[in-house]
Amino acid sequence: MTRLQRLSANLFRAWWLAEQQFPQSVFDAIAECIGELEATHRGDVVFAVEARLGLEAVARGFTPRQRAENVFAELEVWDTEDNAGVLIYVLLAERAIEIVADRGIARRVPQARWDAICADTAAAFSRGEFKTGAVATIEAVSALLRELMPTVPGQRHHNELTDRPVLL
Amino acid sequence: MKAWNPEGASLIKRGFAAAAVLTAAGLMLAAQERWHFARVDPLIFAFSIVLALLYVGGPRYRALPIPVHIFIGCILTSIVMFILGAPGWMTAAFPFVIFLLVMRSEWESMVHGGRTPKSTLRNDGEARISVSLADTHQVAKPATTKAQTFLRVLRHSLIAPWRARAWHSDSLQTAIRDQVAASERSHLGEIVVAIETRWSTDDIRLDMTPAQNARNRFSELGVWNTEHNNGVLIHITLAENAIDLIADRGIAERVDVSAWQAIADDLAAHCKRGAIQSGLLAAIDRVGELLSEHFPASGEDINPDERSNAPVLT
Repeated sequence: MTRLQRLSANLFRAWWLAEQQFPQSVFDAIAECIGELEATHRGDVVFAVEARLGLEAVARGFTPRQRAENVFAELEVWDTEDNAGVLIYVLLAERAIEIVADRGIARRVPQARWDAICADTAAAFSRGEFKTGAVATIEAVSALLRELMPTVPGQRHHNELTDRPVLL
Repeated sequence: MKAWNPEGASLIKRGFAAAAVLTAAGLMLAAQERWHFARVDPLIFAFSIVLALLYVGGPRYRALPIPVHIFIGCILTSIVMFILGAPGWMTAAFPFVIFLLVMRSEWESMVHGGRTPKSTLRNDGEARISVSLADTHQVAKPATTKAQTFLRVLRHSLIAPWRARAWHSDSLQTAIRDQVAASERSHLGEIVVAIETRWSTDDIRLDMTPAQNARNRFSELGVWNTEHNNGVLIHITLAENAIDLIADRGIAERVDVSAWQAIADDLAAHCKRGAIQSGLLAAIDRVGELLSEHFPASGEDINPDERSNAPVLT
């Protein structure tokens, strides 16, 4: 997208969209899914939804990726024992999906696997299946985490971050 | 166009249905020549009747998104005012005011889907190591009344900038940068010095303690973003007379709290005597000693300098 397209998308798109695409019921489903799957690995998944970016930030050239990294810091996804926090950030106006993983997990996963997860999510969202798409993404990320850092038997994993999706 | 959720729209619909009824009443009065019938243009008349009928009658029109409802409602309101013989400026301004009022109540649901977004204030306040200086002059307790908040705003906007000059001098910044760079050659940690003059009014209204605010800065400045989780933030809030040390978990779990407390107390004692520079340099030195004890730089393990050495002034 050019900067002009991004400006118009953030100005005109996504009014009321958070309520249409991610109503409370979808948030509940996501929270339940995250809560269940986090019992199987030592990572922490956080799901964040934002309707639009500020216009002056977009005019400055602030990309969804940079915003996702800011959100990663702001929501304190970095604050985990094994550096295994993963943020899934959805920007509705630009239809952008960003996954930010902490260093403990990022250096052990090739970029192609993240790209595949993102592509699947984008495909589901473009079909309008927001609930199933979000849940499938969380399942894919959790499968990745389970593979790399499964829970150690006998050692209770402390759930450090919120399971509930965050509306920004 | 996608149908709007009925619950959210019902209140506004009811409001504007009332405007439509009012229009109908106005039209009836006008038809009986009790009102200034001669002033009403027949075209406006026909238009308002069609609009009101469509709006009240057709189920398809009820499913329109809220901005369309508001637009129709504003037109109906101005027609009613025109029929009632209101002055021109009032006819023009009144719908606009109503529009703003409706949008004000609608804003939250428009932007965030009717749910309150997450605030930046974190209640847990579980800063890993946070030592605040409780005895300098007056450390503000969390303000509760509006008057206290107002006084806090005054203190932040008047006193803090006046005191900031000593902390913003070029020589101090260079000294801190060199000291941090020298210190980081001997260990693998990261030291960040942040000097914050004042908070924005929005931040003050969040009613944070200096420790909570320092933890937010710890997030924003990316002090957490180190290989061994051993970043240390020395944060000074001039307006609150507060010194906060925040250490990441890698170093915090190896060092006793009293060690951080001693560093903060020492820095506070220096600042009270006016020896800002020597106090800060000594604090950086002592944090560096703790870091080199637990994360020494050895041979090929050179500190990659993940965070900037220069102090962050805001």
